Amino acid sequence: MSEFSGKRVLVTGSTDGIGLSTAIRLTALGAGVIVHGSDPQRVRTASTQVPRAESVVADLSSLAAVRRLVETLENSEPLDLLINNAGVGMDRPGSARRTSTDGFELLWAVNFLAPFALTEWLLANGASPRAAVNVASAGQEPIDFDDPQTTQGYSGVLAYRRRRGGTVSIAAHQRRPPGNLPRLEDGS
Amino acid sequence: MVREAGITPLGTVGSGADAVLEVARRTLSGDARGAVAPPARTAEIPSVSDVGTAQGSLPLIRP
Repeated sequence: MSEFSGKRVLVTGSTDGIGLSTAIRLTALGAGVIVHGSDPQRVRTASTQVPRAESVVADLSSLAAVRRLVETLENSEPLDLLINNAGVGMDRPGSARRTSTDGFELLWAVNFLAPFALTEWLLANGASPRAAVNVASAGQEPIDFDDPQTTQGYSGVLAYRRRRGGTVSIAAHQRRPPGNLPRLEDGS
Repeated sequence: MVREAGITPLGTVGSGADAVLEVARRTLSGDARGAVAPPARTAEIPSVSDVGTAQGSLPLIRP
C-alpha cells in the first residue's frame, strides 16, 4: 500500500504531458484521480487512460470557470491533494500577446491567477485540500511588479518565465504555519 | 497548506511526473520543509533555497 492509496487527488491539466503521466502514476499507486482539462473531448480521451478516474472540465483562463470548479469540488468528497499542474506553454518568438476572457494576459491568467485562486478558494471553506503541489519550471524570473502582466516588451518566453516564477511565489505565500497545517495522517 | 516545488532539469514527461510524485509524497508525509516551517519573510519568498526541490535546489530566483 502506498501513501497515495485511497487519496483523492485533482491534477489540473492532466489531459497530456506531465499531468497525464502524474495521473496515471497516482492511479497505479492507489489514488483516486480527478482528470482535468479545458477541452471535453481531450478530458474524455485522457480519462480512458486513467483507471477509475473522475473527470472535470474547466477553462482555467476564466476566473468564473475557476469559481465554478471550486463549487463543483466543494459539493463532492474532500480532496486530499491538489496538484496545480495546468499551464500555458511558451509562445513562439514573435507571437503576439494574448489575453484571457477576463482581459488578463493569458499566461498570467492560467499559470498564475488560476492556481492561486483555485487553491485559495478551496481553502476558504477550511476543508479541502489538505495539501497542494504547485508545478513550476526551471525557467523562472521574478514577477515584474511594475508591469505584472508584461504589457511592455512582451515575449512569450519572458511571460512564461515570469509566470513560473510567480508560481513559486504563490507557493511561498500559501504556506501555512504548522498549527494551521493538518497532517494527512491525523485525519485518515 | 503545504509548499514545495519539483524541478527536473532537462527532464522528460516521465521524470517530471516522478518529480511531482516525489514532492507530493514528501508533502503528504509532512516531511517537506514547507510543510513545517513558519511563513517566509517577504525578502525570503523568492529564494529557491527556501523552496525544497525534488532533485536539489537550483539558484533560479534571486532575492
